[in-house]
Amino acid sequence: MTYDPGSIGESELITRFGYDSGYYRTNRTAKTKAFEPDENDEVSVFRIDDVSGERLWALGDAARNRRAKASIQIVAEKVYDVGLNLSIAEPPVRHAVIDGWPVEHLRIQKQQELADAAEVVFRPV
Amino acid sequence: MSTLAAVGRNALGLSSISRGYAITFADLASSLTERLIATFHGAITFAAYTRSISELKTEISAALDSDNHSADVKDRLLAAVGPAFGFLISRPLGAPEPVVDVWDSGKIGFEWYLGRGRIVDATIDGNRRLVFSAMVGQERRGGVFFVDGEWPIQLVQAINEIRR
Repeated sequence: MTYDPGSIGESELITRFGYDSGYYRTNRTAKTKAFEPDENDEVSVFRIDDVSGERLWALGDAARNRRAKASIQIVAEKVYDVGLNLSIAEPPVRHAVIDGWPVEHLRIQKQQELADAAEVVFRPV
Repeated sequence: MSTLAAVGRNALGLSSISRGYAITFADLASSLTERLIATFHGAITFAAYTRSISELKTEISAALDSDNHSADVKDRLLAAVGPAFGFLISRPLGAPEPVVDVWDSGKIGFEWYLGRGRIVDATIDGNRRLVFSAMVGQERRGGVFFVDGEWPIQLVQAINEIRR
């Protein structure tokens, strides 16, 4: 799918980058805490439909000025399925946020659903 | 990023972080989770447990934060330490060991994971609030409780069911 800076399609692949093992397990599954919203009630993600290889990791490295170790990937449709929203949040290019989170004690279940549906891709050493 | 933490061993044989060094949030988390796991296994006495909480709070409050975590997060983590210890000490007999994690928001997380669709997550915050969520096959469960010396029966049941 061609990248559309104006809207996020349901079939788009998005990623949350992992910088240490806190967000994922060695069996390529994501932990619930990987999708914990920040103090702005948002989860930072990147849209990576036609991005792979070094371009993918460069996005993650630049996002936090740290070396990304894993890409925690999920299809946008799953975000909508659990009742959350995706909003474009550029710059940086391709950046978006998962928002629309409910009150705090109801969040963990949605985080868990996202983590369960995600696939973890490790950066080649 | 270079980490300047000096992690040594204290009288309990648990890692302790020297004051005045810049440390990452991950170092704090590691020191904390190590103590919590020791507590889970009953490896420390009540007196040592009390001392451990006190030491840990001193370490967390004295540590410089090189990961740009806000003072609020550190305060929340400090507040959650006691309830998290209390939760583990009150574990039911035979409870399986959770994976303990410090969440970015300053909550302390406990995870029992047996594969996709078989997971129980619980978090504890400084208000002694325990929030749990479970995937037991296709079924979704959850609840909010207060840490009061006994694990909620709903949590225990969910943990038992994902183990079957």
